[in-house]
Amino acid sequence: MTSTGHPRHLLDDLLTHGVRFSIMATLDGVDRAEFALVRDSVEISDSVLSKQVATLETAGYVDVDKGRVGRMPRTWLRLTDTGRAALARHVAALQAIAGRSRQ
Amino acid sequence: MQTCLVPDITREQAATDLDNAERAAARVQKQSRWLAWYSGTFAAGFAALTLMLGLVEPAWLRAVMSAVLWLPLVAGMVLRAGRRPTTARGAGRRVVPGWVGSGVLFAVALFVGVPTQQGNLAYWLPAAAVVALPLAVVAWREARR
Repeated sequence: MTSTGHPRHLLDDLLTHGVRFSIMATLDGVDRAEFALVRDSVEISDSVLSKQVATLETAGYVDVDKGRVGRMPRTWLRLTDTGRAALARHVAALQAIAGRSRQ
Repeated sequence: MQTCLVPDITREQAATDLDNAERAAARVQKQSRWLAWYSGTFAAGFAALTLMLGLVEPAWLRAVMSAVLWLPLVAGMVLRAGRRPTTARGAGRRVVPGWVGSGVLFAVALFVGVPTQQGNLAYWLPAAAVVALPLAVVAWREARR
């Protein structure tokens, strides 16, 4: 296989960060998710999630909506179409890389 | 400045990344299954409302009992739905046909039954089951996802 044919060339630089990848993966199967749910699911702190979400938002991978439920402020995270496509490519590349280890 | 454009990653790292992401995603997915009990509760509510409107006499008691059942149910469920931390992807598209189906069947059951079948259990019992069916199917499908 040539170097350009190796699946690692399909990896997304932003998503090689494990936390960012997990954040994106949690949002893939849902329309949107509350900040606190993503934080607890990925098992990280508020500040780490805020920082990584800001990076993903800048890249156009995640949308952030702020609102209220009753009197309580809420932040909702949503994967964009661009983010979903990037995640799919990254997952395919990871599966190709990990799959070879089973052979 | 970033110079390494092609990230290096081992097979083990790739597998670990996939496993971690899958675990985190499963936790969120679990929280998104509330539409199953939500749709199931409304299916049962529609059935109960249909039975009340068809079987309870006199009319004033029927109106009071229906309001006592339906208004708190709708208010409580709308409130709970608004507080859920996540919604499964494409949930609206899957749930709307169930609501439309049960709503239309409910209207038809009342339109046909109220003038001619008041108090007739043989009509209202199957009617209640048919009215509940579309939302019950939605609940069953959501629970299986």
